[in-house]
Amino acid sequence: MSVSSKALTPILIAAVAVISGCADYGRVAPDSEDPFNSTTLDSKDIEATIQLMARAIVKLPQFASTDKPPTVAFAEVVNNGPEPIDTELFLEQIRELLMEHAGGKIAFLNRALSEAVLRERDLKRRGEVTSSSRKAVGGADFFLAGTIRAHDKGSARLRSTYTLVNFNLTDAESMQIIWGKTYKVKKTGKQAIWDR
Amino acid sequence: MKMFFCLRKLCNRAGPGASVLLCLAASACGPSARELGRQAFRRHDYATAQNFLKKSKNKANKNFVLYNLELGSAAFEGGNYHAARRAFERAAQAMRGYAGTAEGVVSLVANESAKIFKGDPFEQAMANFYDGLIYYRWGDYNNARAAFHQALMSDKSSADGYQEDFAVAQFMIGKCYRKIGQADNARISFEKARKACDSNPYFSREAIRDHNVLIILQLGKAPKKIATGPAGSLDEYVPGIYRETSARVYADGKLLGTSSPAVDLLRQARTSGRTAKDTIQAAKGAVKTGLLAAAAAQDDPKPGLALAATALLMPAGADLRQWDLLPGEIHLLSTKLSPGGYTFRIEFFAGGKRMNDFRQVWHYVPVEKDRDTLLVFRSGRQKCNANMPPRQNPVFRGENDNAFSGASKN
Repeated sequence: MSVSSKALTPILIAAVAVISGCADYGRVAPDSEDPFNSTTLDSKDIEATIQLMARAIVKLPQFASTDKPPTVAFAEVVNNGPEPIDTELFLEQIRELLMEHAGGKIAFLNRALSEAVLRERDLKRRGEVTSSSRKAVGGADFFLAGTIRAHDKGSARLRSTYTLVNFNLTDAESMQIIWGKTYKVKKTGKQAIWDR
Repeated sequence: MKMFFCLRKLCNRAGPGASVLLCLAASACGPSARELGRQAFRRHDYATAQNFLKKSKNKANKNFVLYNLELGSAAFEGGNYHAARRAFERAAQAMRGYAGTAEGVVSLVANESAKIFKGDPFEQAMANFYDGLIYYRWGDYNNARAAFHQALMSDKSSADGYQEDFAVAQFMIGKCYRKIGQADNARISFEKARKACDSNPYFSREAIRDHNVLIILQLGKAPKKIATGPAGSLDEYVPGIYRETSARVYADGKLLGTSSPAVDLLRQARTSGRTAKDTIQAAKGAVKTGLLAAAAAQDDPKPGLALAATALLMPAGADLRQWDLLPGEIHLLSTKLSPGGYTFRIEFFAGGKRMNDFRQVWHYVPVEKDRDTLLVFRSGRQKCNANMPPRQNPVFRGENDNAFSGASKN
């Protein structure tokens, strides 16, 4: 029985497609489970932390009025946790949520651009660049800072990680902590028999 | 010629589609991008190695971790620390994760290499160790500490009695704690490092109290994984082949000291320990060996052939995948130097004999002001480089990479 070329070609193409392996790609929600889930923080925890902090801050009595919104500057988020993490991510996302939902009741200072801003002001005052207005550099009323800590234990195939992400607001005049909140999560894991 | 006409006949019958497929198949017979990358790495051409190895970094298959470890190695040795950090963290996160159930179950009944590669404990520790070195180099001591902590946690799954012997990670944690002002935690970490490796004189906070330069030397080649046991069902590590055993470091012609061993990766590999999966592997191998023996003992060829065929088709092979771009040993040297630019010369020794073709000279190496300087070198034949090691400007929280003062630049 002869096999016609018309039948053989699509069969060969289909075989190559199967043999080459099926890639898997898809867009997922930021708070969905990671494919490489572990006992440390994942995107779901980061999203939950950001939401928890932003919702709590926006309800504080210090930010109730829009007449003269208090200014908030970022201090550091210190990572004392069990794995490297980009701590700027927390502050940026909290700021974004607050700017979106606080209704103008909170003003933020971008101290990361301090050098560039002061340089630009200097050029303007010397007349070397144009200037549409003159303002005083904003002082902070509060500092938003955070810490990531964890109690991370493991042996052989078992792992247990208790992570605490704390944020607090400190009065920039009195150094008084006016608010603080902690997101806590504990995860345990066991490596499969084939992995160890 | 006959083969050509056979192929031509096949193409004519199959049509244009199959002709394309046959051409593709023929072209796939050359070395892969990954192999070309590894070859480039071995001849110290790290830029070329990265170009080839990065083609595989996003392939979501069972070797995802291995591709990223190899890319991380090439990027790290080439001074491309941002790319190296990303590659090592992609690998480390997958190594820590619990994904891969389907592949893992298959590996219990088929060849062990069917599972997702996650490395042995020492490989996981090294991925995190390199990550930590990068953060330390950038002055991000919190993240560096976290990465070194992960290196120690990876070592926890080694055999009993060898679970806290990755001394260099403990040492680096101590240095991080010292930098972030946690003196008690620093003291404890240095004590643990000293307990795990009491022969290294630098694992002492008193000895390195006013030192500002840490030199890490990577010597030799990674231990090699071979198949052993019944039907090659188990894996075992044997020494990588290399001669260098120590190094002396000179700055501007002045001897700074002799390197001191901090980690022996062969020892780390051999103390990973046997686990339940090795028992399953050994059982698979024993069954396969038994079937072959039974086949040989048959008088009647028919059942003998059936048993032999069953044995040959039965997969029992050990997983021999490994991160073989690692060094064989990590050595340390700690010292104090004034800020400025230096010419570093590194002499490697095989026992007491100098290896002249391994000499390295690095010009215009900066020793930083107000910050620890971390230098990482790797032994290799004919690796002499008269230019400054590629220096990555840290783009971290607005930090500027201020050039050191007092050094001339070409």
